[in-house]
Amino acid sequence: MSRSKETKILRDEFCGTLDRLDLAIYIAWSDTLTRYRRSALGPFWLVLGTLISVGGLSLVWGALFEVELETFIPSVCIGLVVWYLLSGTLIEGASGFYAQRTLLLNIHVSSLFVSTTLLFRQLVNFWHNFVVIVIVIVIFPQNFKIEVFPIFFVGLFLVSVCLLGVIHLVGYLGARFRDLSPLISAVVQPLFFITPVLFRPDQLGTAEFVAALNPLTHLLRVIRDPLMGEIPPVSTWLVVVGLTVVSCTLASLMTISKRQRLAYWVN
Amino acid sequence: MSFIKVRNATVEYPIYHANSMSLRNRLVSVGTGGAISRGVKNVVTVKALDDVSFEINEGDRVGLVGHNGAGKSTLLRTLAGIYSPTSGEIEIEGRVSTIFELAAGMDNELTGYENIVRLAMLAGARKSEAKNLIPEIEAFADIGEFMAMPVHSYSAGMLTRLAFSVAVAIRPEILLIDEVLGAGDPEFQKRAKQRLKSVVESASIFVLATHSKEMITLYCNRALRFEHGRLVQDERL
Repeated sequence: MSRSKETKILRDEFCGTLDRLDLAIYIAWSDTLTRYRRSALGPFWLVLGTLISVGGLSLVWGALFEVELETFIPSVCIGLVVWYLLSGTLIEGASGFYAQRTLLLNIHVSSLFVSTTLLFRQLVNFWHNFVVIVIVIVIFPQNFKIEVFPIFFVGLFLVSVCLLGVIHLVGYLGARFRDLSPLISAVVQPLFFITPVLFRPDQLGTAEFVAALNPLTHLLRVIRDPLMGEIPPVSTWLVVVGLTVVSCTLASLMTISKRQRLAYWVN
Repeated sequence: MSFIKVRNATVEYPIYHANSMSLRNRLVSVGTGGAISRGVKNVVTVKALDDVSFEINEGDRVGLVGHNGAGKSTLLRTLAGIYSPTSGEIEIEGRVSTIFELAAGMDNELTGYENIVRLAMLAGARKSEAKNLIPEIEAFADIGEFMAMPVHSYSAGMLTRLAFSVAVAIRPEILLIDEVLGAGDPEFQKRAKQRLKSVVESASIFVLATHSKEMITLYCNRALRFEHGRLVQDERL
């Protein structure tokens, strides 16, 4: 493929997304509205679920491990909410394009736009769940430091960009290989147990490398640590920035070489 | 000045069957040199458009005719930028709007009003423009109280009315239509025909794929006949 054709594909994709950001927000917003309409609590059912999980886990694991509750409960709570964001994007990303096939087959639409709407939907969920975090921090404010808090937004932003790349990439792969979606669902579950959601990386002792090698650990930490009054270590930032660059680069390369196939894949 | 230029365009269409869409089968075939999992690489390719060349200029109202599978719909989707030609070139000047599957982009859980905004924005309108279109679309669709209900409660006819009303409310420069005007009651059909006539006249280029001779004589001044993906006849009417 000629260079000019490659840049044209990328330009169309980016312009087609930036141009329609208002539509992406509208779709994410109306999607949230319909969920409120179907049940009075709407997405807060999700929040209720999170709340129950946090409460139950805190009681049981708190008793099992004999940890300080004022550190343990916020840590588990923030960890779970971030985990839902990470696992949700991974699982939904794989079927993202296929789920929007009528759109892709009937309207000339940027594939990045489709990925962006998926990310926005996940972020809406995240902010709903954030209510649980606020509640827990109000009850256990010991670790929270207001001067560290702004770093949370930097972390969330970086993770969002990284996830956009991931959604886009697995979206393409999942459109071509339909069994990728169930495969990812199956893998995400065990990943939960080696990702420091229910524990802190430093509790692992000599096995800490397991957490360090797991990219999800670092994505989790740049969001969780600032809410726990800690600044994430430089190595974690480096890994997250690296992951973001890699996921976005791979997603761009995938788009350049396969954008023109996508319509046939989801057909 | 709007135009469409198609030069030696060929569109080859891979047809994947279930096995070739499986990552597991692909891995097995790599691991075993393809001996066990036969047929994984059997991706059949269909040549839907074969070396097609033509030009459409401002004022052309083109009807695409031919048997089922002659390549009419593929051509429309290629002109819309959904499919890309495997070889050859397509050059298009002007904002393209499409009416292919009527319900494409609708969300069943949303009300008629919300779907109007959504569909209009998908077709390229800004949010404020889309909202301004609501009264006109509501009047034309004429489905009364149902406008405020979720779309999943609509009958097929009502869906067609809504989707068609949105599609013709946006005045495109280039309008591509894949025959869709089958549904709706006779009264609506009549109004739809009139409206389509005025939309077709205001668009600078209009391309319609249809089997109906009546539609061709009604809307078109040029007919392209396709057979097995080849352009076999180009006549002025």
